[in-house]
Amino acid sequence: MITIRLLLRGLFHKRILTGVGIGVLLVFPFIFSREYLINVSIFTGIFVVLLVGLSLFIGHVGQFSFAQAAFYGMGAYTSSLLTTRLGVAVWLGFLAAGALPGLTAYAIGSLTLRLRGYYLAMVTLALCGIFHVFVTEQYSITGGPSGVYGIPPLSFGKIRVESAASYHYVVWTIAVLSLIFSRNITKSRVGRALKAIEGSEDAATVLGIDVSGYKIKIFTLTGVSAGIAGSLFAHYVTYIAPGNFTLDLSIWLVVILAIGGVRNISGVVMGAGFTTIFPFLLGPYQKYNMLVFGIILVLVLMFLPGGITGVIGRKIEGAKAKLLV
Amino acid sequence: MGIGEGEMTRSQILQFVISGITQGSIYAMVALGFTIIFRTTRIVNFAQGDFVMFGAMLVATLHNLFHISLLPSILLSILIVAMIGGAMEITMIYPLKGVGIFPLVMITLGASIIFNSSSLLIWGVDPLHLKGFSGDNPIRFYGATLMPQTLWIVGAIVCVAVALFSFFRYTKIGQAMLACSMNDEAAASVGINVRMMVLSSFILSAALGGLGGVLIVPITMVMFDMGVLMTLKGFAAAILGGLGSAPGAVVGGIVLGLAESLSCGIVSSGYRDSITLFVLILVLLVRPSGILGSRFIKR
Amino acid sequence: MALLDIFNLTKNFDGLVAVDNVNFSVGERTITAIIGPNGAGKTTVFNMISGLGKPTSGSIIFDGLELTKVKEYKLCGMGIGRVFQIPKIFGELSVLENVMVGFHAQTRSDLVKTGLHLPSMVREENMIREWALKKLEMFNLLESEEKLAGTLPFGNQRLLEIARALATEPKLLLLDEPTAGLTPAETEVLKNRILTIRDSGTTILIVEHNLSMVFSISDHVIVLNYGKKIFEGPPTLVRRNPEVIDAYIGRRGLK
Repeated sequence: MITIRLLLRGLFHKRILTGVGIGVLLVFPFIFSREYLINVSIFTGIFVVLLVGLSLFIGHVGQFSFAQAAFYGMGAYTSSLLTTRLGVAVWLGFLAAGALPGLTAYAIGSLTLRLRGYYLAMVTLALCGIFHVFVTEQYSITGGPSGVYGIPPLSFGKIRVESAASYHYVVWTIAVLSLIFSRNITKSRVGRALKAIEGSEDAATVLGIDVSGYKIKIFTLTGVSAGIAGSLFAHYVTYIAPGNFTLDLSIWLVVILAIGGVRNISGVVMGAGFTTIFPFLLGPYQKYNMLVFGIILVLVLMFLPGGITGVIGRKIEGAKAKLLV
Repeated sequence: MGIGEGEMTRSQILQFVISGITQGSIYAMVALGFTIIFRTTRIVNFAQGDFVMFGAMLVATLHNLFHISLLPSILLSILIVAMIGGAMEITMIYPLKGVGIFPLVMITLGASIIFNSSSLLIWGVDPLHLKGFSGDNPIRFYGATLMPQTLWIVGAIVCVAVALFSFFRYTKIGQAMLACSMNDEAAASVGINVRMMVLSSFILSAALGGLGGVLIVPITMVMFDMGVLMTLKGFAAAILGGLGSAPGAVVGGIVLGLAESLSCGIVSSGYRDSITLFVLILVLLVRPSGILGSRFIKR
Repeated sequence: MALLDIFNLTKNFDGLVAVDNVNFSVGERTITAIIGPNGAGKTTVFNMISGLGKPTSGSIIFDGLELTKVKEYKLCGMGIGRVFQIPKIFGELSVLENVMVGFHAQTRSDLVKTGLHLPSMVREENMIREWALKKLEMFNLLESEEKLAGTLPFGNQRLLEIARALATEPKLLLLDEPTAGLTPAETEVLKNRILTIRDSGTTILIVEHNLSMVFSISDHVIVLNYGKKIFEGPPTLVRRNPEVIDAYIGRRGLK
């Protein structure tokens, strides 16, 4: 009996789950050698990076941002254009791809995050629109609707990341690191401060927490992580166009987090996976895709508050508590 | 010749102003819908634009396909959209009572996705169209042309604005709806049925959206996915005017419409949307509470 | 010597004068009480001292420094602690974490340090965990350390909020109606706590409706009415002042 209990406890243990997850990621390219499956894994990893900052912002700052597609696109275009037009080294382009959206987010955040409520949501919606118009209309810089071709593969110095399998490792290394980074933040002084802000901005202020400062910092993080994701995307697919970075994507990302659960990392991973496989999910009934998606969203919000992972998390906690008795 | 050119420009400007006011009136209608729901519930309803879409698609279908005459088609469309709004409140908003704003706003996004995709399944991707209510013969107006539909649209927004103003100012139910937004518990304690107020606000704001949709069909192509853009523009107008302020919604709508159409004359049409959004951001930075708003924002 | 000096403090809300030209001083290591009927502007004064809302005019000098020009979140680090009328504990954090938030201004780990889980940040975490546990012990809350703060009974939420405010090591502690909603027994316990806090060197400014408590613990009383200061002095004089009796206590008289 006791061994079974211990075993069950072990299975519920987050560290073991994480270990199994990382193990699967490590052997994935060896087991699933088909290009299609590796693509699924790569895009899931990219979406993890894209979602990780946003989940902190929505889940812990409690504000909406619809700028994610714009930051994603900004990262993709920054590193694509720097490497194709100006011949900048890819790793430099990659860094710039994180920096530019980060700076943009910082500027926008500083100007608007002192305001409460829906104003940031509106400004980010507008930003998405402006970005889309800009890349579509500025033919001479961005190639307009036809986009940027011939983006070189990722490379760090002499090491070129060309095969899908090696790309898988690069993407997931960054994805796992960003997940760890975000988890560390939530489990620490900064995480407590964010929860305090969510609980009461007034109480947080009198305890010495710089409310708008934290909001701006986390928003900047959404920009940086989206920019990195954009660069990873561009250097993998080698061709980008405005259609990859639409407002629809921004809305989708917010919604998918609500379904997965904004408060924890598994929600991010789940959302990323779902985003990747969703287009193929219903097979021949694809035209019902969005309808089904909308209904799932509504049902999750009604019956699984906190998102799917939020509920599973509580169930596991409950089961653990019972087993420990 | 110089004078001639001057006149030419003036009439062009007039043309832009006319089309700006027309478009802006529709935005104002959507923004008013936002305002009503926001004032009673603090929710920003992302499905607001889809009410416009439904109104537009329904009236075109009823009139063109089922050959119902115009006025009954219009009334029926608005009624159906109002019912959709009510159904949305009953099935999605009410069950989520008391869970905070985030899930509620998300569920309106969910509603929008459902509305959008159902519309695609029902009507497909082809745009629909309808003749102007009073024909499509343009009226000459100081060198510019004026579509008769413009008069309908502008007339409608004026009537709606006056009616809403009187409703909130002078009727008990209007006052009660405002009281909800101030304080749920206090409203309930003075005997206001908060539930009914929220339901009415959804029905009313859906009906407004439906009306906007009905009015817009003759001047534009309407499609299953027009709701998203309408939501965006309406939200922008509401924020521009000051979220929560009804006069602000009207002013915001008109200003947005004018900014759009006048910027058409200045830059290429591809930039139109980004100019408007830029104007919006600028206004928010200078006057964070919007043109007429003040009460609903803290700095 | 005064720890806090308030000069000509005024606050307008859209034309409504909530606080009108108020002056007073709070001596170091004293308990000063602000009393007055509802809507007299007491909480507004508290808000301005603790940074939640800038005054329309006037100045607040704390420990020799002008506060009205300081960023609101920096006041905590300067030594101003605040407890709210309705406890604003963070319901989704544990009891221990609530107190740990109280050490925010004394710690430095930023986004990058915490994200990278640097050793300095771990050291800091362990340190404030120890400190927070000590505070909880002081308030007999140690056994609910792991509970979510939102699940505590009301009286303990208030104690937790005070423990959290003390964690910021304030020189001046603002208590906004700390006995509201407490039972007489709890009130008595709280009263002794407040005296202990004062004895340990913290100056206290308190808004309170329970007059017998005010008169028994405070060294100095300020009476506000319609945003104006109508009286100030030792508790024994307040009871006898006709204007105070008239404005505040009305015809009910003083017990």
